[in-house]
Amino acid sequence: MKAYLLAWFCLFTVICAVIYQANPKALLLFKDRNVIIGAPIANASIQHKKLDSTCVATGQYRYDQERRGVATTTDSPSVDLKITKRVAPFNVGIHNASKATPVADQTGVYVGSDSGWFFKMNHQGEILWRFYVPGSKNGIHGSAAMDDKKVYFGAYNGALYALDKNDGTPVWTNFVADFIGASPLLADNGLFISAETRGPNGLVARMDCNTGAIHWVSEWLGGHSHSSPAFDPLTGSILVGANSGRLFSLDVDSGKTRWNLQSKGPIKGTPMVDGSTVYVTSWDKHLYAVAIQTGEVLWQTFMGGKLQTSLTKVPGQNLGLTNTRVGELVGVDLKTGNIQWRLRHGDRDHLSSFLVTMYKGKAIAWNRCKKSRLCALDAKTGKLIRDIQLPGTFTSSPMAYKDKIYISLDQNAGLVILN
Amino acid sequence: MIKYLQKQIDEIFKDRGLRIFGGILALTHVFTFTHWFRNDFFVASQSALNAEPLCFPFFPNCDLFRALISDDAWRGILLFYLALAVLTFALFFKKTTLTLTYGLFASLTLFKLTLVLSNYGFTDGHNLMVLIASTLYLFVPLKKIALTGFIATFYFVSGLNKINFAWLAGATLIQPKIIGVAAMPWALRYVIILETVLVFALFHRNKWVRWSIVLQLAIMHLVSWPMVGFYAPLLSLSLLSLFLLLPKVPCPLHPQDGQRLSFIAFASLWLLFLLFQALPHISSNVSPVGGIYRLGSIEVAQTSSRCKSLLLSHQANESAHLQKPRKKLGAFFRCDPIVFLNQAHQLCRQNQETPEFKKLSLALLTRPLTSLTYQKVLDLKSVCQRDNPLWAEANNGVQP
Repeated sequence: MKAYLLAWFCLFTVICAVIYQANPKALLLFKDRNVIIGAPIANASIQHKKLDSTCVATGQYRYDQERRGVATTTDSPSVDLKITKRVAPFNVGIHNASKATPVADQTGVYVGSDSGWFFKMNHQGEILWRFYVPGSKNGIHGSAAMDDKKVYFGAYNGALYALDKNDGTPVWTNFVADFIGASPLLADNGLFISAETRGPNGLVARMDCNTGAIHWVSEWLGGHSHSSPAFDPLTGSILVGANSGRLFSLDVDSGKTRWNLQSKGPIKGTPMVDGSTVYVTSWDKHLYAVAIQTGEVLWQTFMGGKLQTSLTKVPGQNLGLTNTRVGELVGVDLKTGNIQWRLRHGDRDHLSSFLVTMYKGKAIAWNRCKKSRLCALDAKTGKLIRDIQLPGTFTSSPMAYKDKIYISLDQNAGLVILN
Repeated sequence: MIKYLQKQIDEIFKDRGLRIFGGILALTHVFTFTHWFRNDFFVASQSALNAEPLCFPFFPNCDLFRALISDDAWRGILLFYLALAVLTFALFFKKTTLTLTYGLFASLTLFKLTLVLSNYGFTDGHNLMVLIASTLYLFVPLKKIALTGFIATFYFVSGLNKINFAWLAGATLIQPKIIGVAAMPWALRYVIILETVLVFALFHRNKWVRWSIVLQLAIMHLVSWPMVGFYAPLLSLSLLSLFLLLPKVPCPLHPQDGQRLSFIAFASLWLLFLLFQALPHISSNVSPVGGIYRLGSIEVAQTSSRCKSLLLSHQANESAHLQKPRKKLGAFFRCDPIVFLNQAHQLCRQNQETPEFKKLSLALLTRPLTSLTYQKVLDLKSVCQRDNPLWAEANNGVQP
């Protein structure tokens, strides 16, 4: 009997030795438990078909990689707009966060909804195809980015999808993290996304736009990252905020943190890059101007209320536009941080960022004013030019393409096209 | 044949310990009844209204067969199963009805096997262990050697399956309150030593040595009760009871003269059993998360897994990433390819008459909880083109 026990013991020792050789950590036990088990990111990419594209944006959230929110000169709707089409049903939830903003190019208009459906429609609002995303009651909140062949968007089920713009069939899917509420960025021949994990925490990943493979993952951001990344081509920096209150500058090639800046409230808005400065809003009621090279705060302005939206640049002027959650639209001097104008409308639940278009040589600022109204302001003075009643309220941002404005409304009010 | 069976009956009823063990095996069916009866699990699983039916790969349209029987009839079948189990249990303590008792127990075992095979959702490593023990009990000579040898092997295999980082790190367990955090890593390591090394002391000549091991294994099962529920520990304790019922445990490696042929038969079964246990590990480099290779495996200490599935339905101008199965399946099924393939199979069947329906694709990636890397288990571009998609894994799960 003893001989048999000894034989089994030897066998067991050999098995342990083999396992240890294969994976030394297997026998280390508890002390590394959290490190090993707390998986930072799910890099699970599935390629459905091969469809290589340029990875150069033909449209994305806030129009450009700097996220300035300024429509191109050809996208210049007049101020005499009226609703010509309403697509419904659309957003259905009342989740208090900004909904997806439509993006458009010559192939059509692309937008997701919190019901989980992602749509492509033609410029007249007829749906060409749609794609359903399951797994979360919040569906899709982030806006899309697109290049010549594919459209990219993230969803609250943690997946980032690349669909064929032609027919809406998936090219690849990568399960990046637990949730994605932000909008992807196409820049520097790569695809960047802020993603969130339970914990809560967040990170930024750089991905291959043709395969969905992750090239790098940033350090933990310390909180959920509702803020979408922006890119500064001069310094090669990816800039992103987080609910931890920090603004991060990441190296575009390696994802390593160059600097981070701590504010006193969550940063949920998307940073805006202009020249050598990045502008970002915070729940600590301040608007910050930060030198991209050094991370030094150039100025900060107390705005009187929480800020959740992104700053929009007025072309040709040192003027930025934003709004507070105490019901004010504000014009700020980007050199000094001085407030140039304020328009009080009293709508506190205001999460839409400005859209700026050019019309007859004049910068027109579009945004929500009061609950269900779209306002056109003189961007320079803040003077109200036009006020349009909509069938419902909205938390997305207005988007202009050619002579039309597209707005995705909340709470089942549909998507409206104004022409 | 009759003579052979009569020999089996004689062997059982000549030995008091084996007879009582037969009663205990019959009692396990009462536990199974209780397990299936709770929360109407059995009827809900068998019902035609079950939106996500599960079938074995060799019986892919089992739900169509199940749908022929009403819910009330399934309830009646379950009660009949209980009655049969209680009757068999009682008869094991009556010495005058040997053949009837043997026949009833065989029928009871076959009845449960039929029910389990009718629904993949009833798959369970402990059910398989009891089924193997019952088969050995009924049909294999040298029952004491075969049963004790296999039961000890169950522990040994279970112990080997635990030699992984997920188990050692406690990732597969919910912290039992009676074991402190500091003691937990040592307890987990000791369980492996107990199951892979000390378990062979169950064959020690000294009964106190044997009983001390039985006691430790019993404590292990009782500690697991709050974490895994009553069913698995009760089945394990039932099997373990054999070592208390036998005054002397024969060593499987020392058959007596005249038993050589039976011993060779037993050894062949034993090797076959070990082959089935090794199959999930040697069949692919993906962490054994279930599927066809696990059908004959008793793996009960599940390596916790995480998975990402992508079931895509393509219609004209509309694609949808479909929800993964909503059924609240335990860790045993969480990442099981058969569960996902069943869902796909149902959808293929439902959509075969839909003109807009183009195709269905399915991808499944899994990783052990302790690894950061996902591995592809399934990547089927057009599931419905397969005659029986439930066997998809057999073709590496990848369809070009």
